[in-house]
Amino acid sequence: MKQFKFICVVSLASSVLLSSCGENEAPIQDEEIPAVADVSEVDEVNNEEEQSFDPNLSYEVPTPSDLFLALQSLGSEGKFDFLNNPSKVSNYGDKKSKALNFGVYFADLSYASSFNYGPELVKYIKVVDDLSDELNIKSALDKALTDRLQEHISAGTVDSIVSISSDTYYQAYDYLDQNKRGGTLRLIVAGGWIEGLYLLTNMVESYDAESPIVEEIASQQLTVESVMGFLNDFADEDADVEEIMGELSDIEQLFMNFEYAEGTTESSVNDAGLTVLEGGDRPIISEQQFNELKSLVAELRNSITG
Amino acid sequence: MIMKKLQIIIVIVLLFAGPTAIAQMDCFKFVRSCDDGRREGFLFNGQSKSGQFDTGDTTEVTMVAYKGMDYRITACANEQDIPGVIQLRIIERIKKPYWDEQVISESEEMPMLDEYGDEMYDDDDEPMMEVITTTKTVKKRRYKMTEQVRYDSKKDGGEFSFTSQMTRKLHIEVIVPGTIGEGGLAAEEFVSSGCVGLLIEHRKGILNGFGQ
Repeated sequence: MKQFKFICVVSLASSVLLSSCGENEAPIQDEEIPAVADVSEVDEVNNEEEQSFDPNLSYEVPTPSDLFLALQSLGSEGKFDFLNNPSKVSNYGDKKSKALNFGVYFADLSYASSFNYGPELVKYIKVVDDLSDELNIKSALDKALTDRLQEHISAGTVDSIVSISSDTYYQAYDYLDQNKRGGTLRLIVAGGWIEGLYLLTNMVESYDAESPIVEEIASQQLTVESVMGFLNDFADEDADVEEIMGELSDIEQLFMNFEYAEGTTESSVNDAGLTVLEGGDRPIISEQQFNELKSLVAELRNSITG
Repeated sequence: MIMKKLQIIIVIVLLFAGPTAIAQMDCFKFVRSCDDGRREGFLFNGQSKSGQFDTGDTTEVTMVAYKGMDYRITACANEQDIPGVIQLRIIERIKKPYWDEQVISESEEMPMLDEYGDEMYDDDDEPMMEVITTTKTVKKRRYKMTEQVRYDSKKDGGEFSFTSQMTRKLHIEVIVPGTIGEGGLAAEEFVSSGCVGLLIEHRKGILNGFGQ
């Protein structure tokens, strides 16, 4: 079994030509991974097994835009008081802090775009742009994107703003991946995920089991494994990545304690001809877990943003 | 002088290793060349992947599909290097909770008591002992993991577009077709490498009902 991995140039000539390839981070080896037998039924005891990551799996983390777009489509409204203040950008001096806060500000930009924050959006475009420069990824970003973003902000075309800001994120992601700067990429993804969860937990003031936002907070249990799996790829090579994994472990542990609602596993086809996936795992968060999660996430997020 | 030598080395290495290196580099962003669903309003999703594979390889990618969103999952390959159709299997691993009850017996030697609750003694004035066995039921919450194949392109054909009634994690198995040699057997000498793209797209779902 092989994994999807972007392949950096392996020949001497190309590595000379592309001096940016690698930078301070070790390149990923494109190695053969042994196949594993198919397992159709596994017995699992909650909280009693060590977390291990399947080396054959490629863990993909949805972007903050995906989450906010989904919430927007469910009719949720944004609360902008919790966004990180753009004026703090000058406080972030080291690589770890810059990368994590690039993720934070990108999540803020996605949130502000999805819920139509209006003219304030410009400030978030500016900080994302500034940090991309400091992280040496600005050259990868299409200059026209920021201009197009400004145009759509003036016109108030929300969907286009979300779409263009997502493209900006993909460009940064691709550039870091292509240039084997996996550590920086992972810190950005971690920062974005933490900020997304922070904003999500602050969209509800008090616990209500029936609230679609509380349900979505519980569903983040499905992304925490992907986030940790994605970070784990670089934990051995980058001390900052290992550190953020350690800082996330309490949140991960809390998510792993969630109960699941039983459901059927049926599919149907709707009027538009789309398959409708029904049933499946539905993690459930209790009031105590909700309050604990909100507090843990706020503590970690505030330690990142300062 | 050093620069000249370096240029010569670069030229030599490019001549011999260059084509391979360039072929590998080409897989970067390969997924962007897959036929997209833009006409149906789908947008590129960041969980898409590009990579280089040999014929006969299989890989697995996880994705999270959010409630209320529509998704379209397709795959494409460089047809010159990878002939045939990429097979996709979309699998959901579902944890079904159950209580696992275990009866545990514990035996302990205890002093024998008389009808008044006082310890009893034998003729040598030694306390009389008896073995008391107690049983208790221990309940543990366990999860049985079952695999549900939500889509298999080989059986279901076409492309997979779906909407999800709740946020869920899906495992996508990407199966690159093998090369068939003489006599219908896979022949190693026919193995070739090429670029494969797994394209995941999303769009806002259409919700039914009042107030949605």
